[in-house]
Amino acid sequence: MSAEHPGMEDATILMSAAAGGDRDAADRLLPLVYEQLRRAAQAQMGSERAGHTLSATALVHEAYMKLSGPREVPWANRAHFYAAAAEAMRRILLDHARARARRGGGAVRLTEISDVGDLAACDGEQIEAVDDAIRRLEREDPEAASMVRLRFFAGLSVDQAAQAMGMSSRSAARVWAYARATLFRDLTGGGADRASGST
Amino acid sequence: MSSELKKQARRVFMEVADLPEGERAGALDGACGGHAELRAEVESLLRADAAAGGFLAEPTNAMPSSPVPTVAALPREQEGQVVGRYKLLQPVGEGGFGTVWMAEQREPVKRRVAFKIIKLGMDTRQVIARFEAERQALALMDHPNIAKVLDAGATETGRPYFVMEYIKGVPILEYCDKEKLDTRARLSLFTQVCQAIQHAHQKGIIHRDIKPGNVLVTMHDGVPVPKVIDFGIAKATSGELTQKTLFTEHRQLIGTPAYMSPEQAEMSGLDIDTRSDIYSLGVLLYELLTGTTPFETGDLMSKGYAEMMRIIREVEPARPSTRLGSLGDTATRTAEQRRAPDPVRLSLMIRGDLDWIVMKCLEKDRTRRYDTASGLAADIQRHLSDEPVTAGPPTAVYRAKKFVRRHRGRVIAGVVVLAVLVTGIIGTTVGLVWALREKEAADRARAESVAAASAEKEAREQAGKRLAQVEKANGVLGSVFRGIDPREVAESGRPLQAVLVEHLDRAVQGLDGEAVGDPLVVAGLQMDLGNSLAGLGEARKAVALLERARVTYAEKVGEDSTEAMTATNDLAMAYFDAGDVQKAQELMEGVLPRRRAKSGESDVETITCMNNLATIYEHQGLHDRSIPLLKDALRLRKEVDGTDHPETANAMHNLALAYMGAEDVDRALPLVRSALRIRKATIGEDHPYTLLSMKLLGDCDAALEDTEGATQQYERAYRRARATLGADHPTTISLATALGKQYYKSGRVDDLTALMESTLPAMRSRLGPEHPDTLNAIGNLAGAYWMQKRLDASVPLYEELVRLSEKVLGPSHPETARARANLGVNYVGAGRYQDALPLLESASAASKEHPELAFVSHALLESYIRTRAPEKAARVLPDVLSYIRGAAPPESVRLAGGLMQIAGLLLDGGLAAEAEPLLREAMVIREKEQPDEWGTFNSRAVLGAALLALGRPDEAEPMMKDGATGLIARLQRVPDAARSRVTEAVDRLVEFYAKDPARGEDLRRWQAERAKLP
Repeated sequence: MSAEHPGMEDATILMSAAAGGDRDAADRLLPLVYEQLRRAAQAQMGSERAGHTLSATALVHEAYMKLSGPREVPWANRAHFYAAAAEAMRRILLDHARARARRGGGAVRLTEISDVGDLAACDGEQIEAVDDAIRRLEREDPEAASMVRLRFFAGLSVDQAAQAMGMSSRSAARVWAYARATLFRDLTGGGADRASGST
Repeated sequence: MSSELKKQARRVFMEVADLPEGERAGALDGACGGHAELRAEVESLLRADAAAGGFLAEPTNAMPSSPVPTVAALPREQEGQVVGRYKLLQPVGEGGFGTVWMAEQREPVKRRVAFKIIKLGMDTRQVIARFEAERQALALMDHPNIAKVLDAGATETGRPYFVMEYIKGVPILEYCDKEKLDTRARLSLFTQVCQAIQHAHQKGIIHRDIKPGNVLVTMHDGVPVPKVIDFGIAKATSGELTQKTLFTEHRQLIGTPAYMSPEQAEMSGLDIDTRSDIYSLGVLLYELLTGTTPFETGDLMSKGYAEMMRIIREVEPARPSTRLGSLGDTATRTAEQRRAPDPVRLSLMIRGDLDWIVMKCLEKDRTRRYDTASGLAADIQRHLSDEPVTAGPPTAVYRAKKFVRRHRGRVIAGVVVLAVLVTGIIGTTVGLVWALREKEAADRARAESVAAASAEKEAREQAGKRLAQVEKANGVLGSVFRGIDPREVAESGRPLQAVLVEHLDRAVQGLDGEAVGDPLVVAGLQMDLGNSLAGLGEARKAVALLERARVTYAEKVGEDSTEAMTATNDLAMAYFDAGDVQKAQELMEGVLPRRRAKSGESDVETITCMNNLATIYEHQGLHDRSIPLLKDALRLRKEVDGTDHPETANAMHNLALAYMGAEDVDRALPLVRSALRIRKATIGEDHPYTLLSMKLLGDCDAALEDTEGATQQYERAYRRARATLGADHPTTISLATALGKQYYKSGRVDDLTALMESTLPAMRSRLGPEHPDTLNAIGNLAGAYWMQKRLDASVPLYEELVRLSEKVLGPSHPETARARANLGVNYVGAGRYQDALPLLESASAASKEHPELAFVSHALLESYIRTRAPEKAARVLPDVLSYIRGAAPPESVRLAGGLMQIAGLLLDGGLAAEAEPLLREAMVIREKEQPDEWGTFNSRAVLGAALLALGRPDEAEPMMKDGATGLIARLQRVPDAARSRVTEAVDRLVEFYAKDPARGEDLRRWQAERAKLP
């Protein structure tokens, strides 16, 4: 293992530094998390049956455990970790999609994408499209975009995302519903309108 | 679309999205008003929401809310790296847990050691704490077939490590196969492994992870010597909680499923004992014989977690010989490896004895396995010397244990008790077989050195003799259970406990009569039977047995031997239970310093001693001596056992008890709560200790004058205790006593009566009729009967109480005086004035010194009146009045009532002059306090009667008339018991008018009134 490999002490220090408002620490957290997640994800996606066993929850949790060790860290302190994890996971999926693009992707219907595992089974174009939609959402509504990232890419439950974002569970559920609807409408290009028009 | 509009749409969407369909339109109308564009946008979002379906639906499983330890890879240690006092030389192995290094210890001695680093994922602090808890026990292990665990600690990265004696050897299976050992040679090696495990069990260590990789064979002077490694490590690294967490949340298996006993697979971590090791030994033997494990690891792993656990728990494995027959090529290879001609032949060799022996180890029900590792070794030895093996038919002890299992649920009350006994028996058998093993070792050594047939014969005879003793001893223990069928016991209506005591008595007689032989074996049996009897509440019987055991141990192995000290401790506590506190204190004060000197302060036995001595002090109210001892004991317990251990709860409970004794409820309360919580979680809601903590919590409430809270707490505990322990268990009795006190305090007479009626017989028989608690209960029940006006029941009880108190406490004891006074009062109630007088007179005389006896004056006055001694009555009157005025507030209705009662008596005795002022006082109070009550008019009527008796008819008549009129008007409000007052008042008027012919009209009028009365 290389000398630069992050030890677990580093990650916890960074996590608490980030929680203390150290932006720099938050930024430096990303490469650590990315590296951990990439290894773990690669191990799963490397095999051909990858798609459906890939779970953001499991992967992110594993990365968390590896970086923090088995200690209890307050959710507020972990928020930066999950933000980093969500971003890392997004990048991993895109990398993966680019690698797959050459072999041709699967054909997964939009309504079937409920987890990153489903997304990983999509073709590169679909993944790019989802990613672009999230970016557009971010420009208009950063809060809703964060919610999508934490829920979808970091695998957090509504309650956990609420804690990580420092809002009530009820508000989180509403933001989530709004974000989901917005993304879906964006991705279907107003298809929902057409669908409802034809009934 | 403007961003402003989007923001508005977001807000409205969030407001209406989670509304029911039907309410949405209305809400939209309200929120959007006439803003069509906004409304269209929100509706579009709502449609998208509905159509999204599975898109970004819930993540399949949410993250655990807190991090859970997991086994994960970590950067490796480097060669040459120094960790603490150790320098890592080279890695020598890797297992599920971590990496093993050959290392060099540098101080205090320079030597090679094995250095095992546990992978990340364990709570290092806990691992080391658990190891520390066992360190002393581990240090006691000294056996040629055990590799010592020397040290434990944490690396700089926070991972736990263990340091062990370095063994240059190969795993036992590998060795056997490489050397092509035949079955006999394999069994010989295996027997040594059993003896190593036996030694550990003897010291209280369970291995928990016996498998070929943990049994290394090393060559010693050309002779293969098996060495069991990793003692204490499985326990430290898979403490109950960790193990459970790891299994359930991560499905990661620590330990090796193929060697895991069914009870380990159940993950009820608390429930693992030495017999789990016996199971694993069975698997090892299976593998040594057949080359495969009963369940193949690969097979198990492919089944998925739950199925794997089920197989281990439920599926009966094939017998070794059967397995060999079905193995085909593998079997041929197995046969080759041990120089057996062919698989069929090998299978035949194994069939029979060895099949039985292996299958007995692999029993799912651990009570059917060998009780000890040396029991297993002995059976193998028997097989090798062509003697019949014990595996096969069940033994008496087995049958006894079995019936408990069969009837579980039907005999819950008995099971608690039986558990005590069964545990006792296991301990004994371990002791017995230990003795057997020592003997065998000696015999073996002799046989080897002399190598003569005659010596061998002698050795076998010796062993046979010893075996006979062991069997006899087991027979004695087995007799405890013989012939007990819980179902029959339950139907006969006798408590199982009583039947058990009877059987124990018989076993004790068997011990005396048959003379098992070896005094140490007898002492061991006496200890077990004695402690069982003490556990059943038969302390006096236990004292006799334990005293003899202590003497034997002191003579044979010395005063300072562990055995003698344990016996002394147990004996002291039996004395304590039997009520001989001085003797108990003497013994315990003697043994504690010896314990400290021998085993150190944090030794479990030392802590137990401290606690017991504190209990003895506490009982005598010596809080200043008990509290420091108990604080120390609690601190040590926390260090040794951890904060949530039942033993720690015991220490908390006891310290709380001492604080309660010292009237420091504030310090006691948090300790009681913690102890109760731990006990509920660890030993269960129905355990006597848990019930005692519930009682103590009630005691706290009672001390804080929260009668209601205390009553509820006691009731809850009492009901449980009665149901699970029986009415005559000491815990049940003490709860009943405490509960009775609360009932008494809150005036719940009926509850008190019922409680005491059902408890008193148990107290009489269990505590003895002369026990202070029994006396107290008799007094309580008698008092309850008195309050219920059941004099026929209260009088004989008070008579008994007086008799017992005079005998136990002495005639001049205040409690005796109180009992006599109460009996006197009860005699008066029953109309037995002559019997009452001497009691009351002596109590009255004593009341100058003991004001609590002043209440008798009233009864004494009544007795004098009824026995026509008005002068004496007049003399005692001031006492009565001062008592009444002391007991009731001035000018209170209660005082008026008391005065009326006395005045009534005085009138009955012709003491109208004495009665008059009392009646006037009562009337004034009543006119003021309750002018419209019937009592006020009764006062007038009676005052009239007094005036008449004093020869003042002019004053009397209006009083009598006014009183009687008022009474008649309030007739409906007069309680039934007081209706006679009305008729008496009218009768007096009728009598008054009848004497004067001129008052005929009045006479007729009152006669008519009288006729209307019932």
